[in-house]
Amino acid sequence: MIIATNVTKKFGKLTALNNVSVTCNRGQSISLIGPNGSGKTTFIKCLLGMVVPDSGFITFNQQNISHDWQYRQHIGYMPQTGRYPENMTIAQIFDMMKDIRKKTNPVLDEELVKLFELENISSKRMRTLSGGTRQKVSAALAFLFSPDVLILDEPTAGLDPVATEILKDKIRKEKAKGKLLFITSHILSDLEDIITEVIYMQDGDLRFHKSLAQLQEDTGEMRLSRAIAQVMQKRPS
Amino acid sequence: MKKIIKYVLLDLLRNKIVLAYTVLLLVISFSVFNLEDNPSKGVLSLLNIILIIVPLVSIVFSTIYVYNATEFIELLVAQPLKRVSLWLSIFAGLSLALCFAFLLVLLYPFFYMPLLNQEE
Repeated sequence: MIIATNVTKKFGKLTALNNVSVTCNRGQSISLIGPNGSGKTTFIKCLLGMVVPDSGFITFNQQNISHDWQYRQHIGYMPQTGRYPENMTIAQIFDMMKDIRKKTNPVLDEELVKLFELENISSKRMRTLSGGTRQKVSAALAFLFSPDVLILDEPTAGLDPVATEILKDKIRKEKAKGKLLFITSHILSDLEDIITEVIYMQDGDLRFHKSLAQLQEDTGEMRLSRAIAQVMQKRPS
Repeated sequence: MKKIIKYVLLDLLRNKIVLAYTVLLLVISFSVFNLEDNPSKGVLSLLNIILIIVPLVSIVFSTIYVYNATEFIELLVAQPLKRVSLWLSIFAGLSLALCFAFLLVLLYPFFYMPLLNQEE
């Protein structure tokens, strides 16, 4: 579904992505794991067309995504830090998004809006919201149009335990529907029962792309956090 | 594209600087015509203001606005929208709001001067 071929991106001297090639198919849920600054977010931004790769290309459903914009109707993106116009209320943000996307995505999935009880605070302005509530808004927006591909950048950062569980349940449901999921997180225990594949990145290089079962077999550890810790220790940076 | 213009305008109409700018221009044009007996002198003063204040405020305010709208733009680039239409709508929204303020000032003498001529 998404194929990245030899994607390279440099920011000045820093190589954020170095010849990254990935193939992702429907029904997989892929976790991007790696130390801070290893290029996870840059890779996600390349997928969304927010960063243009220096070389290499990415195809979405066999179509090159450079200079294309329509493919983004299939993507729901939850950013790492949700930044929204300060003056708008929650209700206005949702109305605006529905306005923009209702032609391409007529089916709305408002389950998360209900579960997070965003309707009760819908008249609050975005600048008055706490970090966790912003995350809830971002999550609800990502799932709102029931897209085929969900890209979640640190979804559980800043969420309280109840909201984290709600979000994880929702992710599991979407996974069961056969959608492609990208999740980055540093809280590996959150990922454990959601993901099927692991992409490990370090210093802009793609170190490996394995299924979870394969990784468990290779490292001899059943728990993801231990398995990843073992991988990280093997290659001291 | 129309939708984005709508939301940019909604945001701008709540912006205090745009409101203050409109009020300032109105006050200037009102005082220019009321303090002078001669309306042609008033028109001349208004011309100076149009030549200096309007371009200055338009450039400075638009720059600051676009800079501060980073998060709005960030939100929209992840959506299925053309970059061109996104930037054009922001441009259109900004120009509409600033033109509205400017037109208010221009229209005021137009309504005011016929009245003045009748009195003479």
